[in-house]
Amino acid sequence: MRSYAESRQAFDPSTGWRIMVLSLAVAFILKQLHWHGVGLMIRPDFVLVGLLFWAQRRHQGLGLGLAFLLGILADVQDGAVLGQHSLAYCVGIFLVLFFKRRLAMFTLPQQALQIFPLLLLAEVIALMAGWMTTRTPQGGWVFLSAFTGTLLWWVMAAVWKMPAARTGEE
Amino acid sequence: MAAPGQPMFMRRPGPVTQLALWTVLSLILIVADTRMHSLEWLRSGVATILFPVQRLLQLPFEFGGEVADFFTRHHLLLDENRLLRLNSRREGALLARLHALQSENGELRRLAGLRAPTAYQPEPAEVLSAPRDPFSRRIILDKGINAGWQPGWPVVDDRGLIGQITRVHPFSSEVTLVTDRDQAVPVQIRRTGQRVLVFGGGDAMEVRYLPTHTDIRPGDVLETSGIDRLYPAGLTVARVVRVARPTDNPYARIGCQPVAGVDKSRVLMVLKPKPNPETERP
Repeated sequence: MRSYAESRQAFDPSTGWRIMVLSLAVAFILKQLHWHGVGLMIRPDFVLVGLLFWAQRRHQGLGLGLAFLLGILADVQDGAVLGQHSLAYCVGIFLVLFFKRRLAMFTLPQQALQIFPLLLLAEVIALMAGWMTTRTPQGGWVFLSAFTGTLLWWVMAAVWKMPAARTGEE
Repeated sequence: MAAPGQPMFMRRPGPVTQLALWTVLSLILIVADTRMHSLEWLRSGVATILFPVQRLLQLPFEFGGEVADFFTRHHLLLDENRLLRLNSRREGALLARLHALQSENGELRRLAGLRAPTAYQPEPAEVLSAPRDPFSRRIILDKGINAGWQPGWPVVDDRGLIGQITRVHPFSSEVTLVTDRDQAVPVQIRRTGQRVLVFGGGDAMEVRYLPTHTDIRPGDVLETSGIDRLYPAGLTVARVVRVARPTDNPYARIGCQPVAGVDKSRVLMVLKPKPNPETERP
């Protein structure tokens, strides 16, 4: 199986940011759609998944400042405590950057297994931040959305590995 | 290093330093928002920037709805039209009676020296989004300060009470639903008139602080009592589904389900309190 480091070589960072901005915008829009019921419960945090995805794939990594700004947007979107999501996103990005080299050694399913605890940790951090400052949360759906988030990450990563997905940049 | 699109500074702070920096900034934001409530301007600003995007995202759905409407069958429309006309006639008669009762009630209240209850005027509103927040149950509506809305106004749908406006931004507003944990609504049992408090509990609701011997049973309807001068009296809030009377506890455990489509309705009504000429009279 081709290692991940190889496939990343083909990615030219000078044009990559356009796709990144586009995908993050799509993630933001998906989150803004009118979700309700079960869909709302299992909805992954699209923006967080997108951020983790790109933090791993860009040569330069991803600025924590971007994660912070998107976190504030998410807070306003959710009517949550300001700073709650920005803290979670920053920690998530940092961990992916920290484990970037290590992640590259694994196959895709193994990577997904390691992304899951990262997503869960980020969601739990947001939860704790809210818990400390406001009140006890209701419902333990964090686990579910981290799970669907991992599936989404897997799909994105698999698509990214397909040669057709990268013909634009070569 | 200095390729286009890359930062100009050769030495950036290390990743750990950066993380520490942003973490501290986040913590400052959290504290400033929750303890000092000094970030409403930031929240309103970002919400204002977000509004066009949210509005734009609604358009395809509205357009889809219009296209679907266009292809409705003719006789369906006619049937619906007939039914609506019938309903409107029936409700017209009821309304006339209501007006008569209202004026009689006003007369009696004046005689008895009581204050007139606040009158409300419904204003339609559309749900922009329903955020998933584990701490609260909320929805975002599509109007705010621009429509003159204020925190505290009740929000209803065609079946009953949905919640209350709690935060108003320039073009949107947040509604805390009756199922929110922090939301308590003063209600009365329609059958007996007993006044109780119903609390939100995530997806369901519960009545608390009611002695075990109280006359309440599954199927009872709870409606707003109007004694808080916040919700008008008589709005349906919840239906009792389960009553448990534990022997080791002085209070009964009563589970309820909200009657209104709390997380389903898309079009809602915001009840705007009408300035009442009688309350201003000395």
